[in-house]
Amino acid sequence: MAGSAWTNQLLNLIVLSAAQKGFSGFFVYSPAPGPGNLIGSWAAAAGTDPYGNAYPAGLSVDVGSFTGVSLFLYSGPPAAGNLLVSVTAAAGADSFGNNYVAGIATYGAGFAASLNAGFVAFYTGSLAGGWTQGATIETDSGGDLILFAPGTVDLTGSDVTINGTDQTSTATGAPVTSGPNGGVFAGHTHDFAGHTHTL
Amino acid sequence: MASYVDLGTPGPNTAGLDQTGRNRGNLTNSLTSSFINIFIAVFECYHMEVHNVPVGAAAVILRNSRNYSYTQPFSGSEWDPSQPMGLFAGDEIDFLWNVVSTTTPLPIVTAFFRYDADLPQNKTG
Repeated sequence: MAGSAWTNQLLNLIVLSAAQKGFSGFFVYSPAPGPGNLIGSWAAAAGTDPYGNAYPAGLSVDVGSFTGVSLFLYSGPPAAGNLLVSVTAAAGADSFGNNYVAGIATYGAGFAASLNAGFVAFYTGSLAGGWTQGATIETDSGGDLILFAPGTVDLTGSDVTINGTDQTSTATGAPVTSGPNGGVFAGHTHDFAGHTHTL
Repeated sequence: MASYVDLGTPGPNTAGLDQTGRNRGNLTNSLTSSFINIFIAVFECYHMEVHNVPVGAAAVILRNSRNYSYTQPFSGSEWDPSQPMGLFAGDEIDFLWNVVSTTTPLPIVTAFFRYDADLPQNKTG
């Protein structure tokens, strides 16, 4: 332990003053300092250690994996309104009051999206006020792709093609709007424009 | 130029219920003058080792009732100072652990001593 004649110490506080250049920071080697033995580093600036091992600026885990319970990445200093990405098992709020959702989530102005086991969820809301889940894209045990939206499903494109061998509709209320004005049905062409057609 | 003579160690010292009055109810390793058993006028403690430390235990180290050092070992540790602890005949070293006397295991401290045979104080008697 630097600064003490006692070795093998448990520490209550480590303050590391890393220089902006040169070999300075937190470096871990295994089994001992030497070429090819740098397994992790935390430095203010990228560089090369005295053994020829290159290291990047910031935190680097070069061997094994980065393991943790929750992960929060911020745009700029960690603060209210700065949460950019979260990786958590459950929804909650960080120490700055930023509301986060479960899963691997990203946040923007008014919207959030999360990747979870088997589905992608979209949210509206804010970091300060919380999030309301809206549409989801998910799958099921049959491998189906399921699109769900509490509001309108809007498919927009210069050419929208839907191919399938079967179709099922349980829609109620107003018919589908803004569809094509014509198509080929069992060998003949039909123009929908201006009227409805019963198949 | 010092002419050191190694005195070795008086042996391991096992912690027990505090007898110094400065760590009541807790474990203390008391390396008393009678335990150290060195009567040379000026000598030094140049190395200490501690093991058998209970999980989470920490010790304030006193030299003659004055704070000298602090350690919070993970099970065990050793002290290899850049500057040895100077001692006079009759001095005492205590490890005041922050755990109650019923805690186990009991910390064991082994200290090593030497003296400078060239010091005038050590040439008399």
